[in-house]
Amino acid sequence: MNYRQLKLLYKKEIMDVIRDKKTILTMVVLPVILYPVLFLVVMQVVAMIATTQQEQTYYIAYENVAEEDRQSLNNWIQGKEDKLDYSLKEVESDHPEADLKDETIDAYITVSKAAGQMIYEIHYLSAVTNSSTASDMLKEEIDALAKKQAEENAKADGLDINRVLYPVTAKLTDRSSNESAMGSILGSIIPFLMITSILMGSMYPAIDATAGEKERGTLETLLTLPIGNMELIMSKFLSVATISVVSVFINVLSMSGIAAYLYATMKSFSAAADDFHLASFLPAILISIVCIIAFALFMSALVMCVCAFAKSFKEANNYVTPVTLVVILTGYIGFIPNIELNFGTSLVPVANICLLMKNLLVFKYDFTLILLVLLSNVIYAFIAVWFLGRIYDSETILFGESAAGIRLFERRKNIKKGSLPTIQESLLILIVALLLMVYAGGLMSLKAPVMGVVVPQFFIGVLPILACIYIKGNGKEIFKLKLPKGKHVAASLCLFVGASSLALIVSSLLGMLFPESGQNVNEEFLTILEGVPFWAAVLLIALAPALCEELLFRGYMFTAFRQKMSVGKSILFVSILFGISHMSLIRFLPTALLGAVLAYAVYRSESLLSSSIIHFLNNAFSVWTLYYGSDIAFLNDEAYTGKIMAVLAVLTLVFLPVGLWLLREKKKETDKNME
Amino acid sequence: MIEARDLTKQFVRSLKKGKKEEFFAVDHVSFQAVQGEILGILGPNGAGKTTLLRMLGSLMEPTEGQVVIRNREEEPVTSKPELKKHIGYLSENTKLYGRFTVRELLSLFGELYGFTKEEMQEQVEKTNALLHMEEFIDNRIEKLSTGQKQRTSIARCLIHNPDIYIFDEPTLGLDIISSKAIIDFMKQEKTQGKTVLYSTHYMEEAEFLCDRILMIDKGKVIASGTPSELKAATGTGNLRDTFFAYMEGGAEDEL
Repeated sequence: MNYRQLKLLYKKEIMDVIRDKKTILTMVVLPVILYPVLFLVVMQVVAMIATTQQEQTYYIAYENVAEEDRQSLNNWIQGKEDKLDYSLKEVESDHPEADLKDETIDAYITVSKAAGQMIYEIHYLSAVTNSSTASDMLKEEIDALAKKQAEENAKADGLDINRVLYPVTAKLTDRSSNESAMGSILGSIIPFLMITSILMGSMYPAIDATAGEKERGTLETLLTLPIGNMELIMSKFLSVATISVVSVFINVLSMSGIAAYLYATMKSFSAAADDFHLASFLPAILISIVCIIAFALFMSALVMCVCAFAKSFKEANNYVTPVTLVVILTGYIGFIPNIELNFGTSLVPVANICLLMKNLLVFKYDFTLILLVLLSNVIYAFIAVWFLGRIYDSETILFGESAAGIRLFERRKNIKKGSLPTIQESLLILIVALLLMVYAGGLMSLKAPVMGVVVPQFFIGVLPILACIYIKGNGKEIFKLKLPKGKHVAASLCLFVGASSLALIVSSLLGMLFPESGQNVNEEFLTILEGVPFWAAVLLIALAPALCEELLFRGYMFTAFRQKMSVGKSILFVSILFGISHMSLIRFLPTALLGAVLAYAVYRSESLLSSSIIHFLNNAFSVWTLYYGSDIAFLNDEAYTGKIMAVLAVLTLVFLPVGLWLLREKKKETDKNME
Repeated sequence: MIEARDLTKQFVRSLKKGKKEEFFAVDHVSFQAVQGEILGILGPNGAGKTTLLRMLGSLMEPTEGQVVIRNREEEPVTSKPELKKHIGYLSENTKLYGRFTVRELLSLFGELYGFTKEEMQEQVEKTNALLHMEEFIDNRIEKLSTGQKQRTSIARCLIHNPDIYIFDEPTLGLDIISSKAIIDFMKQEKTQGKTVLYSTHYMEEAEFLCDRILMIDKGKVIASGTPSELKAATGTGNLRDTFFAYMEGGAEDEL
């Protein structure tokens, strides 16, 4: 590497970017002005809402309440009036129910009496904010009144108040330090803001240095110089990284300004802030900065890789949008309560930085994980830079026409009718579907575990259909909507027996190697399906994936890969992605194997239905074993394991070749003619 | 002197269903251009002119063949960065960095060619005097007029004092005054003993400027010689007709 040239080129890139108004705008003006302004506006609005709520007068009516009962409550409330921030005002009403519905009163009270007990019934509307606030306040007052009277009664009867009324009480003591309480509040929002600002900070310089240079026609001028590819890439990469790191620091400063302001206001209001030490955040901040720099390097290289394919600013913007989408969606991970930084998540780009910062802000320092996050970001950055080098070495990309990338962010009217899907689009759909699986699936599974499986399936099925509509694709062609021939149905049946047996053999072998994870898969499914009847389970676990997953993987994705790759490679890649998307290490191999058979069936029969049949039968069989497998004695008897495996092996060896043979026959001729 | 030995460039076109097709953009082209010579390279669109010139300028790697330059001491030069130091390359695609001033750009490029800062200051002043750039040398390039930009482009490609110039349709889309600056420059450099490779679509320009002409079509050399030799061989009166004669009429709709 020629360092003199590198230095000159670096200087040139930095100068070129800094003299661009857009960069300055996104890098300096936005964080310095926008954040504080946004923050102040939000604070003002919150304060305004709080005051209006406090100063509010709530109107209360009584219905058929005796004068003395009414008076005792009124006196109680009025006796306390000075201490309250709000006022409860009694109004006369002849038709309280109607008035409540018209919102002329906020609540009304009826009274009933039982032995030694008086019940004030508060009638309110939960859908109306004022009414529900009024009811809360009334309830609070009545509870306080009840407590006071109970204490008086007990006293009058000469009883020990504490023994009779409060034999057991609960008291909450928050042992977390003020700092970590603050950290946990900031833990989800700060990493998210950080990641967004790094992305925004690196985006414009990256586009400018790659696609912008091509668009302005200066790339060829640069290539006439006696400089190496390495110097060229490194200078561009380092300058973009520098600018994104600088923009991070400006962001951090701007946010610290807000934090300092908050701290100052807190201090003037409460004593608690006295033992709140900003200094205790220092190690967290220092480690965060190091990790953020590593992350900024990775992000810059990644965005540059994507932009390098574009020929113009506009095109580059189109390419970057999906990256932004994925990065921001992943950045939300900090808001999900149960996802923690561990060995697995520390390797997931973007997510690892979020989770690490979240940990650091509550003073969890696990140095192995910190190192892993740092290392993985550096490695990702290296891979991205290496890839960038490959791109800049490719004359077709430097001088050639731009390829069709992702058209989902283009204007629809610019898209030609009958377009075919691209690999990039199908990958974007998969990533979005997987992210939705984590987010929506996680959320739904709180309501009902089975929903956590069904909702993601819905997305997997719907997203490719929407994409197909958007790119004006021919659905029949993309999704292979054709009835299979009788022979191909027979092939599907054979392949089901063969491929499912093979998958079972592989799973059991893997289960023997890793007994715990094998158990977990089954247990996981059993918890998900708890209380779900067999027929519903078949619909949800077998039919839905057989339709939805096929639409995405063997439909959109397989068609997309086939545009650019040979059959073998397409099947290989789609199957690997199919395996990965099941997000389980132990299920990867059997799923990918099954995926390969499914893809081959679609390729030969040219009908998505033939793979749907195999997929449905395979999953239905699994559901059946989950429900009724335990009833059949020999399946659970270890003595039979060997025999079962032998039977499965025979089934595989007989049915898989027969199925493949059925698919090959005759089709061979026409295929040859085509080639 | 610059020499092309069997220069070949193969591109891969992607077809549907992952199939690919190879084709020759430049197909085994050999020629020489000597000192004090302007060699015109003519051909219809898509003939492979730009690809040929990019390979000669070391912007592209040839699939086959080699570019050899002989320096002033008549020693052959073949390594990529060294070749570039001997070449001044100008095409309609070599635009300038708009956010730099002319002076900044020239010194940056000169330093990247390996000159020191001090050497560059001197060289920039010389170039300034030569091309009369006093009034705009400290302005940002994006603010310059087309003519001023053109002069800056010329300054950019002579800043390292190359022996060989490669001009790929440098006058395309320029008005008469701006093209004249480039043409005058080529003539002047020729008298200095420099070699100029020049591709154009303007036949009249080529006819009175070029010492020799190379006609290429579909990546192959179909004719070469002085303008008068080519006219004589086809029995035509001017180079435009000669060109049509070589393209056998079929190229008319391509032009």
